Amino acid sequence: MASCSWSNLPRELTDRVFRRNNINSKDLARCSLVCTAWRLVIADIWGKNFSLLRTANTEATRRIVRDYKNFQIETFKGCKAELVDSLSHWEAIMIGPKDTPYADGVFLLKIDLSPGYPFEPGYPFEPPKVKFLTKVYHPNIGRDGRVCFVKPECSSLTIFQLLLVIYARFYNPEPDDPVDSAIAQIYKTQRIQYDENARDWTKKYATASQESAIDWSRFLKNNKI
Amino acid sequence: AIQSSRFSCVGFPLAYIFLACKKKSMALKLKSSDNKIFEVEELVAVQSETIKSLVEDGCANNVIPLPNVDSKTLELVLDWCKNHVDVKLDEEKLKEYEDKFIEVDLAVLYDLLMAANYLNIKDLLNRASQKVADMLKGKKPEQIRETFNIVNDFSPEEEEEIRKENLWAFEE
Repeated sequence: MASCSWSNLPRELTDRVFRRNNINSKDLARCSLVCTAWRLVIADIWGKNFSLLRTANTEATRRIVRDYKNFQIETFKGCKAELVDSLSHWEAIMIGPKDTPYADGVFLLKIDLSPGYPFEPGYPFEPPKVKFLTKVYHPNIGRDGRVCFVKPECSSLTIFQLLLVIYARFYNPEPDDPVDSAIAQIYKTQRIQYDENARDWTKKYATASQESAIDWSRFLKNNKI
Repeated sequence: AIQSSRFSCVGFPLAYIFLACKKKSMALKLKSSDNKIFEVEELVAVQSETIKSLVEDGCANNVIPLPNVDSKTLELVLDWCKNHVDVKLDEEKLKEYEDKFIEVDLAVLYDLLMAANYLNIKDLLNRASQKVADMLKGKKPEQIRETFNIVNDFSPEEEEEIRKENLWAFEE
């Protein structure tokens, strides 16, 4: 049929195909080599940071790009990460999971990857530095937002997996491995008081009106916040 | 006592109207781009959000022209709609039907995708784009071009650059 021309498929339809969840970032990278029209649609999916991504020229930065591209596709509900101004500087957002005292809270995180090369091993051999920008009442999160990663296997996680681990901590705090031992003590001995405090902090600090480097309004709208 | 009598007064005509509507299930006439008329039950046709909004706006009394859909495609689409009127019927059977339905050649798949988009039929749109995605999955660019009959419009330099940029996607 003469009208059938897959490279001229309307943009919104091509976009829809590429966003099906069995298509991963490898498939997308391959598809971007098919024709110009497809390349442009995929550039859009990967976002405005496309030109930034092209600066990747070492093994470590290529790994970051791969992480970023994966994140645009595999992102789980209630969490998103974006590059701020360089490949090593990210901001992430999480919505507190339902059935926890953190429900519907908006939590911002800063992620710093040391590109390392040529002076130190850097990411991915060193775990990213993750810090909550929002105050959180949680035994594994410090008053200054510091998150503790004692386990060495965390260094091989992608940023996506890393955020998933942090997200899981909202459900299951680990009071035996605390950053804030006072909160851990309350968690262990006075659970009701802990829940109440965490809810208070969430209501007070984890609001949609926090200052951030990225405009998250669309994400918040999608999550009905 | 007053309340209950009022309730029965209002309740009866409401139920009556509801039943009447359901029984009637007005037939709609759809006209394809090649001027064939399809007569279908409203329940079938309103799975298309586009047609549904036309019906709701009262623009469906005469023939509804669908200038972007040819009769061959419309017939397929309506068959899909007929089988999705009551989705809860039998999930397994429905899945079997969908799988068989979408086993079409690429030209037909293209037309289905375009029609589903124009008529705004969500489940068909999803199923059709899923089918295309399945066909892209794990393929090399050259294979994709061949399958979908797409012309490589990059210059050799451009192609080299993009390939370099996406080198990681070609490692096994």
